[in-house]
Amino acid sequence: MPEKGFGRIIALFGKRALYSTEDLLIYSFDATKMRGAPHLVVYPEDEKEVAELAKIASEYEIPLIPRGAGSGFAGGSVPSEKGGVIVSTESMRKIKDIDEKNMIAIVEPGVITGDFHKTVEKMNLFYPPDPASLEFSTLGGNVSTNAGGLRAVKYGVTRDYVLSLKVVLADGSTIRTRALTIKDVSGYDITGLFVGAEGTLGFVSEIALKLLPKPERKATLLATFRSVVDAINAGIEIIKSGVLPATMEFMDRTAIDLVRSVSSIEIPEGTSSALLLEDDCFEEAVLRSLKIMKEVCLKNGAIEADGTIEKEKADEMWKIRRNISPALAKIAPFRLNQDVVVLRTSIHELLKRAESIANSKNLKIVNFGHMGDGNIHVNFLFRNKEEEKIAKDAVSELLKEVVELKGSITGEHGVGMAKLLFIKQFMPERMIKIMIGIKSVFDPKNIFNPGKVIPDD
Amino acid sequence: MTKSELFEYLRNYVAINLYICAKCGQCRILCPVYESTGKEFSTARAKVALLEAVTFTDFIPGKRFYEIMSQCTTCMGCKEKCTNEVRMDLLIAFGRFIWSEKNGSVFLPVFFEILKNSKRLEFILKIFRPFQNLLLNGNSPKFKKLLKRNYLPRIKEKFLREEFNGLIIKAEKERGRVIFFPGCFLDFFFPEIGSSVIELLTSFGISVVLPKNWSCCGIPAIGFGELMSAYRMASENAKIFEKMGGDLIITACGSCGATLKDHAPLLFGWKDKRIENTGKRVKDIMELIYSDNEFQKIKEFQTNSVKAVYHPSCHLKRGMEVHREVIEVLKYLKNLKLTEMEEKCCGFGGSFNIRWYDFSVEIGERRIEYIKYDPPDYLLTGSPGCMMQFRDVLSKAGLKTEVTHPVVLLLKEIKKNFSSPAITGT
Repeated sequence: MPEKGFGRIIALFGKRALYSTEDLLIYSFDATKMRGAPHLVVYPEDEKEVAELAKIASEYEIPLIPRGAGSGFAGGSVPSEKGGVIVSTESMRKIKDIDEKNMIAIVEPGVITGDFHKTVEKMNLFYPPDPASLEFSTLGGNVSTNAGGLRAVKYGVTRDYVLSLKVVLADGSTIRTRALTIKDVSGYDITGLFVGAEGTLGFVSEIALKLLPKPERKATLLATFRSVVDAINAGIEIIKSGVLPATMEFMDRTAIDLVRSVSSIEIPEGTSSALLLEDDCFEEAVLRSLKIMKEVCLKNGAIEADGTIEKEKADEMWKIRRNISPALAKIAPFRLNQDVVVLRTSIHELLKRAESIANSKNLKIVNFGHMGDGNIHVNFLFRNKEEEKIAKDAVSELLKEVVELKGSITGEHGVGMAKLLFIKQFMPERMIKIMIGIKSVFDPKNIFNPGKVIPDD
Repeated sequence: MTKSELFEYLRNYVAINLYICAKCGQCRILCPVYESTGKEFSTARAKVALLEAVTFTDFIPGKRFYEIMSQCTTCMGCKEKCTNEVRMDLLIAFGRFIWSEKNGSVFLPVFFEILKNSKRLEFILKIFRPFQNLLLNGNSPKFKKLLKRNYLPRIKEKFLREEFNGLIIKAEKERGRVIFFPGCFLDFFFPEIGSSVIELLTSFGISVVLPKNWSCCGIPAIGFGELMSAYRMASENAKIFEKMGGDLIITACGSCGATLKDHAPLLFGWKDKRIENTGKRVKDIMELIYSDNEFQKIKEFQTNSVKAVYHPSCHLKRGMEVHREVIEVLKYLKNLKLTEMEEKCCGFGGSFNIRWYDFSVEIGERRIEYIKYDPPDYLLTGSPGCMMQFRDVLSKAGLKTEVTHPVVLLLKEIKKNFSSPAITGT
């Protein structure tokens, strides 16, 4: 009798349980526009409440769907057709501790990533993961999707900064996954299992994050190229030359043409691709990397390569990259944004194949993204329902190519419900079975976020 | 125009806006209400989800629908952050319109009917004027406590229209001529802003014409979802402006300006071309001053050394897209030390302040947080709504900072440089 279960949950949360039609509608989507209505929305304030909730949910087999900002691109926080309880982290927003000497921060999952950045940077500390949604996405969501970001080339992704997690499991018990030390090899890497699990293994109630010292200075370089190959070769050679830039962003011709007018920086005619590079360290060091990056770009046929350590000028350069997404609406109002990832040396081949898929289907395509980690956002644009269908076919062809190129179908958005079909299609059965086995250890009754990541049948 | 005609038109307008919302969640970044609640139901995309249900399904909105729709200051911060520029403020007006159609009070339409006919409003305010002291004075703390407010605007001894209704105030050496639309607040509660506008313009050779019996711009009606009343007000004003010829229409209230220039043409321009034409002629007073080189003379004037902070009114900045102009003009005052407040809503929001006063104050208090330790002499802002909010929260915080309109400070600082009094009504 789940009804009785819901009653007990409502009694547990009182006014912090919402179930009006309006509230259920509001918590029924994320940035994918996928829909699925929950039965209930609750705002726990601490892990004890979540533990109580998990016990009731297990008893009545009610799904629990952990949700941060609901800004995901895979439907991970959208209830499946089973419905269930949205467990919002919006009332768990405390930064509990920042240990400056050990450079560790303890936070609750609802803390907004951008707010966290500002807080630690005031203390001259640094938390590198910077997903594009950082102004509104939450650390809990970042952990659960193992979010990447622009600085991933040098600094890695969210996983690289999660020291330890406190997790509430389906039986109502709470575990700490690891010691807070930099090193700890006592047993399996359980922390790693929860990072990127999209809330399917348990509810992350506390996160211990590793911090770095804040780099003193940034150097930014914008290089334009006549061909895509030149740009990619330059990118690869820069790293070989000893500079590992924090950021290495790629933009294709369509992307550049869209944003020519937004910045005071003139982009030369004949530009067919561009790299935006950024390095951060002490001033002397970034000046040196700037010099090397510039030399390598010019050697690889760059039309222009202009660098700066002044913030104003760097902002103008960033305007070009940042305005691509907003400007896509000029071509078509909608897009299917893929986050495929391949090895750096396969990027050119990937772009060629994506282009030919788009051409064969008469779709507009724009490519830009994180060249440094091979994570390119391939965007198929569409204007209406018919084109949307064609674009979906294009995505499925693209993913096939990506797998053939030994890449992955998702680099940072996650599987959720959006890529579930493709997991079934591309992941070896043995691997899926292993995932099912892991899931059953932590959550035998499939309470946590059912219908995500692992195909049901 | 009938109600159902308006509903059908807006339904289509809204449908397009709902369609282009990508549900990405960026709308919450600048949202003052989300800043307070931290919950999804305060975001613009949540309201989009509800309006989708109302527009495309047979969902019948309940009380919670109105609660959520009313929790918005219509600051348009979401629009500023929105990749697809979804017009959330107008979607919310539509949501409130639907609600007031189904469950609205009887009182509101009557109130706006009175507001539409400014003579009636003037009459009522005049009757009330002698008694306001009894109620709003320090003598009656109980009443104040009831309203929780530390500041309420006073009905002024002399309305702007009592002095200037339908007049042409000629500049001595006339270089040009503009129409000045004061709206209601500059008329009944803040006439000093209106007279400053007139004096400043005429001193610089611009004659000012005031409409005869202008009506409310309609923004309070839009805020309460009384769109039929708002339409009648916009029509009334557009009719007056058409008769007055083709001069620029100057406003000194960001909310009036945004309504005349943007909201009313978008909501009603399809039905009444005069409303659309009116919109094309509207400029804010600071925008006009900035565009007229004659005013650069102010740079030479002797002024006092004062410290001010500028709060960009959302309706002025995002509704009329007037922002840098104000700052540049204020910089003409050579001894003014000007700082800019963060570009976030003060929390007033008209109907929002009435319906959700505690939220409203909480937002306002956050804005003045950083001036508390070194309060400036003036807080300048281009909308009387923001002025009321800041007078309230500053007074609650015990700060002496004077809240006024940039044009008032501008005139006050340069007045002593004028040789003779400039105002001569004809």
